[in-house]
Amino acid sequence: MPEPLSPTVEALLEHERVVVEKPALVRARVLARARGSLQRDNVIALAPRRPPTRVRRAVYATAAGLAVAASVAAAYMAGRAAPTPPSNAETQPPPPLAPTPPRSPEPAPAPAPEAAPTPTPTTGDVTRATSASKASVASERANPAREDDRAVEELRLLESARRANARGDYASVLALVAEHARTYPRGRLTEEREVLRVRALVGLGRSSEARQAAARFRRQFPRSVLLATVEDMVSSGR
Amino acid sequence: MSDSHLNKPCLAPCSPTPREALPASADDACLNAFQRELDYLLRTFERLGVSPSDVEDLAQEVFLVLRRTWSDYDPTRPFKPYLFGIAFRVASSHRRRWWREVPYAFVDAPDHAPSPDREFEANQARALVLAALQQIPLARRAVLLMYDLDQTSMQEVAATLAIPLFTAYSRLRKARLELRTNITRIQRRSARR
Repeated sequence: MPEPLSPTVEALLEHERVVVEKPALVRARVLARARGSLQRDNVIALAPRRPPTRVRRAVYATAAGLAVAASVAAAYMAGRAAPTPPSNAETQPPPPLAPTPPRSPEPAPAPAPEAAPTPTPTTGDVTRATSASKASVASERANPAREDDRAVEELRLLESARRANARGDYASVLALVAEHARTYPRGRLTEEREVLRVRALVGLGRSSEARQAAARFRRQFPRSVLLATVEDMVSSGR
Repeated sequence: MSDSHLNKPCLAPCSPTPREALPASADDACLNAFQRELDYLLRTFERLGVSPSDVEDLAQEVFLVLRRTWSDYDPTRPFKPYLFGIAFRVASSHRRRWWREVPYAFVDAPDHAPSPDREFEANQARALVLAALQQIPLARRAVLLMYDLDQTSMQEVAATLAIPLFTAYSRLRKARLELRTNITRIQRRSARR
């Protein structure tokens, strides 16, 4: 049996055990995708199923053979020489299909994003953001210990911005956000940084800049769980 | 303990199975269970270090896997550990494809306005725990999440993660040490500023 946790850690974990409800918009989007995949599968399951290719090929081949045999028999019965196969394409059954790889029945749904019923944005921004993150990570991989320090420093910098935001010092938030952007242009906390930027701009009453920052966030992180928060801040002015 | 349904590989590399519509009641049950634990699932992804922009996509992956394996799920067993197992495998696979782990310290605090003290303290605590968790290797982190946060029995933890019981205890011990160390380090660095 493991030993009990220290009181300090236990107190911290007690807060984390409380699962905070996610924004309604995020929940709605996730559930809509899930329902969409159910509906799509049910439609496909009810659609008439064609027999597999090899079955169709066998049917055609048999039909062709029967047709030829019937024509030969008819010609014999009429006392004439065996005719050449009819040249009229309309009376001729379709030729056997060229061999194709056997197809399995309807494939299982692929994981997202292929199964997503909603249009998946394929903006270059999303790809570039991911590639930029990967490039940053790749360069940092060369020195894992340094990477760990950078992650902690990055977090500390934004934590300072967050504390400034909590006390309403939005000018300091913007200064810290700018410092983060300079120091960590491809940082891991880019999304969180931009949320703080929008918050600070709203707090300073710079609505037009806040809307522009929110639009940039939407373009760069269209599927972020923080997007609802950003849009709510801009629309409510809080 | 053998729980074959928990050990089934359930991600993309599996050979595709014929897609048949589940009975409407099974679909409803699957969707209801997913909806009921959706907040927990999204939070779990945050704890596992998934980027905010990828959380919804991975949630959909989890739902597809859940639906595909729904007939294997034993409803007499607790649902959360089963869901965690799927989420963990999906997140691990995603991490292997797109290695970007996020110190996820800010999702809890949209901070439209300065919060009341208790809520602020709770948000701070959650942010600190998340930041400390991100620096624990995923395999050990999963054990700690299930045991210390989700308060799942160690037998269930071992079965869900398909590891021996002894390994689960060992990982928990190491993860707790790392958690305590990381919390202390982050608090000290924050205090210096």
